Parts: sequence; C-alpha cells; structure tokens
Amino acid sequence: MGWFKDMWFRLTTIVGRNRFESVMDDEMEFHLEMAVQEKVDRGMDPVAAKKQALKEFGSPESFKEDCRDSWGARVVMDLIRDLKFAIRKLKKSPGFAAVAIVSLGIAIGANTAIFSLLNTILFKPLPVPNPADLREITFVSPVLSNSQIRGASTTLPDGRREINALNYSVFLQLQENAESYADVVGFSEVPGIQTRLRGDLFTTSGMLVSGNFCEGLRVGAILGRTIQPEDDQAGVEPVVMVSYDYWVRRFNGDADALGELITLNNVGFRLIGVLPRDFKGPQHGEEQQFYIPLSTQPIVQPELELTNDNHWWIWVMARLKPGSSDEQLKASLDLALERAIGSDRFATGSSSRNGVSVTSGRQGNPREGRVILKDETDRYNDYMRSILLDGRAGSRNQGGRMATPFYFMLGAAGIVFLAACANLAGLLVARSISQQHETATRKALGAGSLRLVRQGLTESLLLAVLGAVFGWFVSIGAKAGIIQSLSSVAIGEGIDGGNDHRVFLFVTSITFVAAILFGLLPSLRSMKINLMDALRDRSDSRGGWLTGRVFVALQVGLALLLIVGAGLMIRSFSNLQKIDPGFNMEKLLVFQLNAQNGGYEGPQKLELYQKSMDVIRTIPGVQSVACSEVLFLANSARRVGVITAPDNPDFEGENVMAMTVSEDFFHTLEIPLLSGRVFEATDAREAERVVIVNEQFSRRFFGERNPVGKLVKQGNDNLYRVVGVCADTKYNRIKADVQPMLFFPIKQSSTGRFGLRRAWIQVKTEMDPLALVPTVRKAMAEVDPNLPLNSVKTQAIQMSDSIFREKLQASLLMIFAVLGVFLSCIGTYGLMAYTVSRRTSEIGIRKALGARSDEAIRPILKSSLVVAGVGLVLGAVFVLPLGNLIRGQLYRVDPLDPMVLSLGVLLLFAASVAAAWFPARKAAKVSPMEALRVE
Amino acid sequence: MADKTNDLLQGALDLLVLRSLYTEKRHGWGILKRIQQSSNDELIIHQGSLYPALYRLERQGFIKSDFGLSENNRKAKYYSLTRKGKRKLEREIEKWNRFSTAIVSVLQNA
Repeated sequence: MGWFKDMWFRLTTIVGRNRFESVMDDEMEFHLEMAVQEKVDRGMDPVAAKKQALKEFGSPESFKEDCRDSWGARVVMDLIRDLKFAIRKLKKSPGFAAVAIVSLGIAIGANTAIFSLLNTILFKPLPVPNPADLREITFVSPVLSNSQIRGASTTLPDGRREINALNYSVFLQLQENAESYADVVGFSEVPGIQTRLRGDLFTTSGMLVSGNFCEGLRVGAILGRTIQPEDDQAGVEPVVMVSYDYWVRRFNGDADALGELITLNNVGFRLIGVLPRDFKGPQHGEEQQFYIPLSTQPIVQPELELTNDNHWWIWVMARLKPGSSDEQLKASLDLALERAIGSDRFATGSSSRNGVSVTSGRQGNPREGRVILKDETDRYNDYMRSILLDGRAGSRNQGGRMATPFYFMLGAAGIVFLAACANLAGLLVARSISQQHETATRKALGAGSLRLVRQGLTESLLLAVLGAVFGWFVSIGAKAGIIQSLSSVAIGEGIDGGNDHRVFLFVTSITFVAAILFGLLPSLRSMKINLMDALRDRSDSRGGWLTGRVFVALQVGLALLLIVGAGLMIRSFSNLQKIDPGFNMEKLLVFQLNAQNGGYEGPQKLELYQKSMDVIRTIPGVQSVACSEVLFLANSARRVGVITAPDNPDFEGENVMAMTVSEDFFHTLEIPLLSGRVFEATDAREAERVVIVNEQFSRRFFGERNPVGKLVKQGNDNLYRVVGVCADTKYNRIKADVQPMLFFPIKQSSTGRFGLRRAWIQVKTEMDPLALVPTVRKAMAEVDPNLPLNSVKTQAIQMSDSIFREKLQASLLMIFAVLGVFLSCIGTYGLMAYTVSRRTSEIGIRKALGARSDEAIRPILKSSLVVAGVGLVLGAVFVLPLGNLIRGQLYRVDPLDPMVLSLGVLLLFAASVAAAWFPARKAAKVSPMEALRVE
Repeated sequence: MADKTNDLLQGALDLLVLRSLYTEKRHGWGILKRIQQSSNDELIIHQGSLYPALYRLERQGFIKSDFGLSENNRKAKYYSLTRKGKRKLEREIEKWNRFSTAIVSVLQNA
C-alpha cells in the first residue's frame, strides 16, 4: 500500500508537473518578497534590499532541483529520460532494432500461440454452471494389497501411494456419507466397445457414469433426458446417452433417433438423450462418445466384476453443496473411507508408519491445498485419505493426452526463445563493446554505474516490449494456422485458443524474462569498463569478446538441438510414410455410399453397390473398381468373434480383424495373392461360404500348413472354406502391427437390417484420381440422383490425414529449426563483423608484411569455426537427454540417429562459415594503408 | 560517516520545522522566522535547506499545505501539521530529550 501510494504520488507529480512548478515559483517569489520587506522595514533602501535578499537567497534553480528531488519526481523523470535515450539509440541502429524485434517477436509469438492452445486444453472450465464448486478427488493410502488400480498412481516418498480410483463398494459408501455436503459422482472410461448402430459396426470407447453424474455436474440434455439414479441399478433396461458429435455423426442429428437401440458389445442400450455440444466429457482434453450407467459395467466389460473389491476403477469428482466447505466434505469422505476399508486391506510391511506426513485439503484454493500437516497423528497413516483438488476444468486423471503434443511443441518453442535471447544478448554485448568509448565518456562525465545498468535494462525492456507486441500478432496468425490445420482432420475441435488472464500473464512474464535474459549481462558489463583503457580506445577487452563468443556458441548449440529434433521428426514421419501398407494406394479414388440412408433395403443394398461399380467401370481412365465394407487406414476396423480352425485343434481361437470385399478388391488394391484364388462371381449366397485369409492369419492358425481348402469356424456354427491366402496389409492404422485378418465375399454378406449398410467404392485410375471426380459424380447420378457420395478423397489423402499429428510436429519443428539456424547465423555474422572491424589494423599489418588476402583472414575464419565447434559440442551433449524425451513420439528412429546428428552438425558448420565469410571477405579487401590508418 | 551527520542534522531540522507548526500553520518564511526568533537568533536556517525539507515532509505525509492570505494580504502557501506529523513530533521530542540529556550528562561527568 505504502509503495503504491508513493508511486501514485510520484505519478501525479509528473502529470501535474506544470502546476507543481508554478506553485513552487510562487512560493520562492513570496519568500523573496518577505525577505525584501523585512529589510525595508529595518530601514534599508528598497533597491539595495532586493539585491541583498537575492544574494542571500542563492541560486534558486539549484535548490528548486533539490525540492523536486524531495518531492520524489526524480525516479520517474529518470525513467522517462532512459526511455527517450533508448528510443534514440534504437533509432540510430534500425537494422539491429529490426532484427531484435522480429526475432524476439517470432519467439514470443510462437510460445504464446502454443501456450494459449495448451491453456484452453488444460484450464478451460467445464461448460457447466458454477464450475468453481467442482472438486476432483484423489486418495492417499498405504499400499493396497492384491489390487488392480486404473488411472494414475504415484508412490509418495513415505511409501504410501496417491491413487485416483475407488472400487465400487467404497465409492457407494463415500457417495452416501458425503451426501449432505456434496454430490459425489463417479465415472470410468471403457475402451474398445464394439458398437453396432443402424447397421454400422465400429469400435469406440465410452464412459461408465454413476446415476447422479449429470445431476452432480449439472449437465442437461439438449434432447431427451440424462441418465438418472434410477437407471443406475441392476435389472433395469440399459440406457445410453451420447455426445452431440456422436449424435450428428452417427444419427445425422436426427431427433427421431431417441429410443433407438445401440448395441454395445452385443447388448442393446436404449438411446435416451443427447448432451450439449460444448460438453466433451468430465476429463481434460478428452472427448467422450457415449455414457452408460456404472451398473452396466458387467455387460460391457464381462471380464471384470463390478463388485470385485480388488478392482479400483472408479474416478471421482464432487460438487460442493451451497454452504458446505471443503473441510466438511473431506471429513465426511475420510470417515467413510475409514469405515469402508478395513486395515487388513492394506499390504503389510508398508512403510507408512515411518512417514508422518498427511496430505490435507485446505479451504479456498484446493489445487494449492496439498499441505503437508506434520502434526496429525500416526493413526491416520493407516487409513486411506482423500485429497480435494480444483475440479473446475474437469478431472485430470487420464486427461492431458491431448496436451502431450502441445507440451512437446512448447518445449521446442522454448528452445527458440532461448536462442533468440542468446542472439540478442550476443548482439548487445558486441554493441556495448563498440560503444565502449561512448559509455566511458559518459561515465567520466559522472554518470553512475547503476544508472548505466538501469539505462541498459530500460533499453532491453523496450526491445522486449516491442518484440512482445509484434509477437502478439505473430501468435494470432500462428494460432489460427494451427487450429485450422488441426480441424482439417477433425481433431482438437474443443480448442479455441482464446485468451484469458493466464495468457496475458504468460506474455508479460516471458517478456520480462527475455529482457533480463538478454539485457542484464551486457548492461552489467558497462559497469566494469576500465575508464582509462576505454578512453584511450585500447579496447582489447577480452571479457566482452569472450562473452560474445559464449552467446554465439550457445545459439549454435540450441540451433543444433532444434535441427536434430526436426531431423528426427522428419525421419520418423518419412518412416511412417515409407511403411508399406501392403496395398497400392496410388491413383486410388475412394468414396462412401450409405445405402441404408438412401432407402435401400435387403438385397437392394448389394445391388446398388454392384450397379455403382459397373457404371464407374465404364468411365474412360478407370482401370478397375472395387468395393469394401471398411476403408483401410481410416481408424476403424471390424472384428469378428472367436475364430477357430477345426483342422487345427491345438489352437484355441481368438478375435480377428475382418472385412467384406468385392471380387475385384485384391486386384484393385494390388494386394498379392500368395496361394489359392481370389473371390469370384460364383461365391454367391447359395454357394459354399468362403473366406480369404492373410498371411498372418495363416501362420497363426495353420502354422506351416497351407490353409487353402481348410475350414475355419466362427462361434459354434458358421463354417467357412479358405479359398486363398493374400499378403499382409495394414488395416485401421499405419503404425499398428499387422493382425490376422479374414476377408469375406460381399455377395455372401448378410443384407439384413445391419448388413452392408454402407460401403466404400474404390476406383483405380490411370490419371490423377481427383480429376475423375466430376465424371464419377455424373455416372453415379445415373444410378441414383438422390444418393450422396460421402467422403470423396484419395486413399493417399486418407493415409496422410491419419498421420497428421506427426506431420504437424515435424513441420513445426522444421520451422523452429530454420529459425534457430537463422538466429545462429545472425549471431555469428554479428560477432564476426565486429571482430573484423576490431582487427582491421591487424589484418592491415599482416598484409603490409606480405600476407595474401586469404592468409590474412584465416585466423578470423578459424576463430569463428572454433566458436561454432564449441557450440556444437555443447548442443551435442544435450541431444541424448532431449532425444529420450521425444523417444515416444518417434517411429523407428533412434534419438541418436547418426545421420541426423551429423547432418545437423554439418549444416550448422556450413552456416557458421557462410555467416563468417562475408565480414571476412570485407576484411580481405581492405588495403593495408587504409587499415593502418584506422588506428 | 557523512550520512550519519546528515541524518542527525536532518532529524534536527525536521524536529524544528514540525515544532514550529505545532501551534499554528505558517508559510515557509514564517517557519524560518519563527525558528530564528524562538532560538534567540542562534539558529539560522537557510532557505536552501528549508524548502526541500518541507517538500519531503509533505511527501512523507507529516505536514500538509493549503493556500491562505498572508499578513500583507498576499496569497501564500501555508503548511500545517497532519495527525501523523503530530505523532512524529511527540516521538521526536522525546527522543531528542533523551539524546540531549545523554549528551549533557556525558559532557558533565566524563
């Protein structure tokens, strides 16, 4: 407060400066008058009195200055003077200012853009009323014996563990006990649920939620109703509510969809409601497709028992009731935990007794509430305790998977930022050396050292602020670019990258950090200038020269890290692209037909697909046409139930991937046939059921034997004769390993309610596939003018969309690496230009003594290479730890890939030589006489 | 060392200024004269020290200023004690008394 008042006082002083001055003048004048008056009263002659008084008064200006100081105006006046000086200085070297502002701006902009995206992912509150009342609850407990815990689980230093899941019975008891203080809701993610819906078969993950989930979080349905506690009981009809996106995608936003059955792992769930568009689920950055009651868990996850107390799988959030406090909630939760879990549940021999710390929630700011209270008694350590965390942005249990690539990008942007700061620091040091004479002059004239430092810092702050302003615009563009490229492949739709106080705080602090990082050292240097040496211009001040080189080396090192990072990502990306999917995706046009939506029923559906293929086949430029139920590399797959080979009783059978295809499929996609035959027109409904298996399947189910002619069985009754073996192909994802696979002929596929609802037509062309699209559309209009062609694209585009994240990372890093190299070139250039100007006379002497031009500049080039070399070694040291950090993002690339590393080193070396070359050339051209005259 | 003496002198000046404002409000000239008078012309304060001290004391909130008419009917800037200034004065007087007693006793007994 005192400080603020003082500052305010000073500011108003500046603003009211004129008034202040005039009042002061009046006061002095009055004083003089009184003094004269006094003398006159004493009998002095008025003229003499005035003279005398003025003499006594002394210089009014000097003591007016003292008054101003006392008034406190000085600090602010100095600041303004420093700013004016800094602006003047920047104006004098516009090139330097431009380089500084642009490079800082890009660095700050990149960081800001990525941070604000990350910010929305991590901190955006759930779109529910009063999100501040929400708490996420985790637990600290001695080690649970014999337990399976889902979600994150951290071991604390005292041997206890922090877990975030409960078993079903404990959850119910907690919910009941805390009822008067909060609505405690539970949920859990279930991956890989096989869904059948309006005949579509696909696999998605869904979420099990407690009956009070929607009520507790206060999420309403925009259509139908939400899951209620009555739905969360054994023996009632299973119900499901879906996300808005799911409703639009799977039901075309059809309001009549309510009441339809969605088959989840072979059990029908009644659709009762659709959730609001902005509600993506209770977890950070995770989007949920559908929600079913906790009590249906045994149906969708039969391998796990709902009531198994060793199975800790329910994540917990709560909404505080009005008037309740965190303490009350925590107390009631802890009491319930103590009652619910006997101490026999905890593994013996845990070191919990040795630890004396208990984490406890604190009212007010729960996220900061992990206060270790040392004074709680030992008794508490034998039980499980709850921890209340801020839940306004949802649960963090599993969340943040979305955030991973952004953390990664923020890390890379951070390196660019450091490089930009090092670059500026280097330039400033070089400049401060060249301005040594001026600085020394000012010092000799009485400028205080501190004042000089302050002036230096004011200048860097000005640069940083200008950079931040520029960076703000950069960030707007960058953000829009990233969001647009993300949405083009339909990921990250929840991200709007809006700005809030956190983003502004980030920008402000990053700006100040930058100013200090690059400004402090050069400013401090000015303090140490040796006056006499500097004034005599004997300026071989080794210190500054060394500092400058350190900064350039630092930049080269950071640039190496960026290049290596980019190189690894690019290699990884190109490895992904080089993966042989097992089929030829060149010149392949694909689109989807939805026969069911087009009103086709039963065998009509198959007829539609046949007719479409026939029509397209006649188009000039079309080589062949095929049709399949699922598209390759589109993240979806069909799995069929347990398959056995009756001929091979040793094999127990398992689920396999499957796909229904037309006869031309293998020919069109150029999947080699290894033995047997492909499907033929005769493999029709009334003929024997046949399948083609892939190599993987053959090896797994038949070993070394040839499966052609053998039988495979699905479930208990369906027998299929294997007619051919084809080469392995990738199926749903390019990164995934090849799975055992079955192909069924389309003509034998069921055309019942769920069969062949939609299909992908795949067209092999002779020319650019997309050029054929208008002709294909025209042809299809003849088949059915009312039937839309969905998702028209080439298989190659489908493929590149599927590895979009890798592409984005590689290209961003690539941009960052270019920036890094650019910065290190500027740094090297600046340093070398400076060196050359310093050593002009030395070069002149050498030349006068008969050295050739190239001999004369050799030492300069050499020294620049030494600096680059040091930087490269420095960078190389950090390649391993950083490489390990991104190992998870790499596909079949070693973080220490020798090619990437050596290429990076070579590139930077070349860049350094190039950057040093121009100043050196200039030096080589100086005539000896001119050079000697410089002295 | 120089700072110390300055502190001492400045403290004394502050004390004198505050004391002269204790009974009534005065303008700068008035303060000067008052101190001169009550010290029987022993203490002459130079205006070059007085005004900066006044501005400082005002910034520190010990005195405040307003405009009034002087004895010769001229507009002048008058200073008066604030409540904070009064408290400071009382404190300073006590401190000064202790200090001077101590000095006197040293001078007499040592």
